[in-house]
Amino acid sequence: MNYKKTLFFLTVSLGAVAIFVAVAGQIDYKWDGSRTTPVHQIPLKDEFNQNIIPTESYPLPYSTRYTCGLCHEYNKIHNGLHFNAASSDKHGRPGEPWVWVESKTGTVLPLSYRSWKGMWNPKELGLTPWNFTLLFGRHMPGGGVAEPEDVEPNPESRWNVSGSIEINCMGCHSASTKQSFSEWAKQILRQNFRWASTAASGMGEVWGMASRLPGTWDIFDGPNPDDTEWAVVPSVRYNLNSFDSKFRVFFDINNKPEDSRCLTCHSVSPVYLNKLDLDRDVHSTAGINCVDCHRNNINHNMIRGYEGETKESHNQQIADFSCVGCHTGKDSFKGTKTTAGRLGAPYPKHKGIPAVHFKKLSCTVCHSGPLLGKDLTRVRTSRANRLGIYGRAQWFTDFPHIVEPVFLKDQAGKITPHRLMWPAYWGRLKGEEISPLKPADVQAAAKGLLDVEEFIARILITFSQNTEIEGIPVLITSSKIYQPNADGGLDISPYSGEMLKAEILWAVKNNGKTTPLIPDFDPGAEEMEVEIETRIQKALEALETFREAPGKPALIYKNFIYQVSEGYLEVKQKQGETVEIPQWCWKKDNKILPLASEFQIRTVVATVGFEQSLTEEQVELVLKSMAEDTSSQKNQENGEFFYISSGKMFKLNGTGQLFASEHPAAEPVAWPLGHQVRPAQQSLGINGCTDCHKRRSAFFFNTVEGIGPLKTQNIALRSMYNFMGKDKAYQKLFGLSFLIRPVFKVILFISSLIIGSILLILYFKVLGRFSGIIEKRK
Amino acid sequence: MFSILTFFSLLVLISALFFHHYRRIRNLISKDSTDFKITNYFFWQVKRISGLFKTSIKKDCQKLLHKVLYLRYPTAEKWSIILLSLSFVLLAASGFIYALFITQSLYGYPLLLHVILGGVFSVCLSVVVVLQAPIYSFNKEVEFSKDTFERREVKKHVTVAQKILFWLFVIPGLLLALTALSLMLPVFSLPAQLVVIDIHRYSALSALLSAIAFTYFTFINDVK
Repeated sequence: MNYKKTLFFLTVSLGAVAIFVAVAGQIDYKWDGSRTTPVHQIPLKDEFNQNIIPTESYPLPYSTRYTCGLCHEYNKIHNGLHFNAASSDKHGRPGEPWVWVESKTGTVLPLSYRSWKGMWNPKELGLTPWNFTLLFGRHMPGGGVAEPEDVEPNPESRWNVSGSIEINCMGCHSASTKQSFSEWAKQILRQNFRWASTAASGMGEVWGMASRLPGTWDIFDGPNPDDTEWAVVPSVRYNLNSFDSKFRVFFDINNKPEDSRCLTCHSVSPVYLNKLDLDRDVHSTAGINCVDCHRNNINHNMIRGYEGETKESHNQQIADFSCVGCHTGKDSFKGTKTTAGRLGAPYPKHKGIPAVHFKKLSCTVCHSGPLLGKDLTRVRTSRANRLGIYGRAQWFTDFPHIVEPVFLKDQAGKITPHRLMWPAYWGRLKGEEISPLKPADVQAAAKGLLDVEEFIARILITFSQNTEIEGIPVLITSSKIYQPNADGGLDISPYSGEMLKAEILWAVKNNGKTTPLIPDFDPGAEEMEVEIETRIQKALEALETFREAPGKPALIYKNFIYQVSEGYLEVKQKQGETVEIPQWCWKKDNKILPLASEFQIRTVVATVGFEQSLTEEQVELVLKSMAEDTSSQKNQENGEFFYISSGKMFKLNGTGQLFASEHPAAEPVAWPLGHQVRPAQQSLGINGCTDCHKRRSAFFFNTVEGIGPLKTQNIALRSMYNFMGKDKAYQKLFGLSFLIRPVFKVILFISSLIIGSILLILYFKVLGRFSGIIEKRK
Repeated sequence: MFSILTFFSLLVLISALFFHHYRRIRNLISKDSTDFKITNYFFWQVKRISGLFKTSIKKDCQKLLHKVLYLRYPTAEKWSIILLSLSFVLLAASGFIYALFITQSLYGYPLLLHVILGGVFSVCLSVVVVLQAPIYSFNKEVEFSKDTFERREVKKHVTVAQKILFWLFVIPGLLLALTALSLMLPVFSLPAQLVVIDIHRYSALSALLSAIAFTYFTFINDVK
């Protein structure tokens, strides 16, 4: 049995070697006590752990896993707060969701891998990590769902082409002004996932687009010399000046990331505020950086700094960095002690503020967010509204419509200011179960009902192919000019020309002047002007190329119909009513259809130039279309379809009409806000109790309107007292009581003075009796 | 802490008053004060407590009301005393119920009631103190003639215990008013406020104990 012993010995030896190699591969450097940051002049490693030689042809992008991971434990960092949303079971206080915004279908859907109230888990919607990364990779720091273990080719994803997004260490830790977030977003959009870090760091230029490569391509295939125009394989051209003779690169590192790095993804700004009016957080002004409070060690489990985090994490040290912990030396009202005054935090005296406020309100109620006004402040956030990406295109979105501060009770039962948005999505209701539909599925079911703006824009672009036209084709209706824009939609401007003979006019805009597409002519004339004839013919020929044409294009005027037949303009007598103004139309089976239907014109007028992108009519038609599809499949178990917007659920009733109702799924989604902290002089209550306690105070009686992509009068309205779970009548009465409070104080003072005086007299009398002075005087 | 102290002090006071009453009745019946048996006291206590349930509450209330309304004072003074008593009972009820049985501090309508009644209490207390101070002052002439105030001539005997208890009620009353006032002014920081709130609570407890003892010595012990 000697071979068994040998086998056992070999197995043990191999195991020991494997463990040694694994441990040696990751050097756990312990801090030696020096407060300096070492110079990072290091070799670059690619994703195969090979040194990068920038002068080689087709060098690979650098890999943070191997370049940074040589000294810093990548796998520990990988479990940090910014990367563990999908893998951690510790979710903590709700934070900002990722918001899936799709304007055409009116989808504004809050998503989160963490189980936070009102937010949908991407898995529930059938969103794969690939889909999620494509949608939100622009503002993701890499790692987590963007770095899946399985990158094998499959029809659902293209990880094999794009590569995974490793943690973008330099996204936070770079001190270089070359670090570009816009470049990062651009590379993510091009599916150049594995190249994004290199491009964003400014170490090299990245060319090509992985999104254009076939799904079978992978990194070992290398560049395609046959295609240098379209499906160009991404490649890096390193900036050789960055490398030394040993091909080491100097990384301009900030051990503690600068605020601007955090603000790339965590900016929040009021929509209607000028940049020059924007103040910084009071802590920033005092020279404190984000990471001075939101600290972490190598595991990158950052301190979020909210009250109660200590309890959840069982780490008492965290308590030092909550507002209460740092400023008062206690981890909560009457709580255990913390190290007060770190970073020079002043002790707040809060003179005259009743103690009950500290029990029931979080610090941020009075100190954070915008100043409380008559209306709530609408804000845009980096991640939700796609801020901070600069370039030719306009990246930011109007939706989600986020407002703050909305006062709600947090998970600890304390009233806390929140940011709030109203979800909007299409879905299916089966019993009590809600299943949101993906925007792509909705568009397929809508059969063009939601593409109205693009439809009109495409018609106008089709007209512009007519070389006879000098200028930009536009649509004039309802005293507005609609003209196609670069995004495939329409821009709107007011029309101030002559009174129109028709409600809808297809026209041309040239040097600010608008003229009809076809000038007035006499259709009854024996010989038509050549110029007009050519113009009509060219326009009709252009319309023939329109892909979604429901029929053959034609122009009708008076009793004549003009069509192009075999390359010639054909004029025929038309039956029926006389048309007084030239009208473009489609002819299908002897039926005359307008170029754009009344529904399409109505919808464009109602939505273009407005934030709301849908009309009730559209919703009704789409719901009908969805219901018809379902019934045609004879699948009655699919439940009812609905659309949620503005805090209401819209469904079809028995007669096929749209009606709105309340539903828990339409309720707003909110998450607490921590910043920005205002100076003490601007805190709520600085002017006295009546900052909040008066008859119509903003604090209790401000109203939150349900705002969504649907243009409707059916909107949900909620008052602050609703959100706080307070009684309206009581708050009004309590507010009124502050009118008589000064009188009350005077009464108490006079009463106390009288009782005190009598007690003083009594005291002296008793004192006199005991000392015998009174007896002596007698 | 406050709850324990409240329960304990109320228990001690009520037991002491019960015992005092027992001793007093026994002294009226038999002159032999050494003839005390704990079992007798126990049975007497049970009898008295069960008696509370046997007699009609309605009748008892009517009796008490009659007694109070028949206070031998002028109308203004009488109403001051009635309002003071009523406001104190309601203040104590609202305050102590929240302090002892509800974990949260006073809130909602009870808080509004408490604040308003606090004002009524302080006004009535000051009126009562001004008018009653001569009666409860520690002068040697304990027989006090009321004829200067009232049409009817009434002579009242005020014991030292009643005097002490009266002032023991007034002093916390003043503290209650002062602490309530100071909490409305932007004077104290949070830790100082917490001390003031504690002063308010303990003053309320002292006032309650004094009021119970005073009521006993004025109404119950007064029975001949």
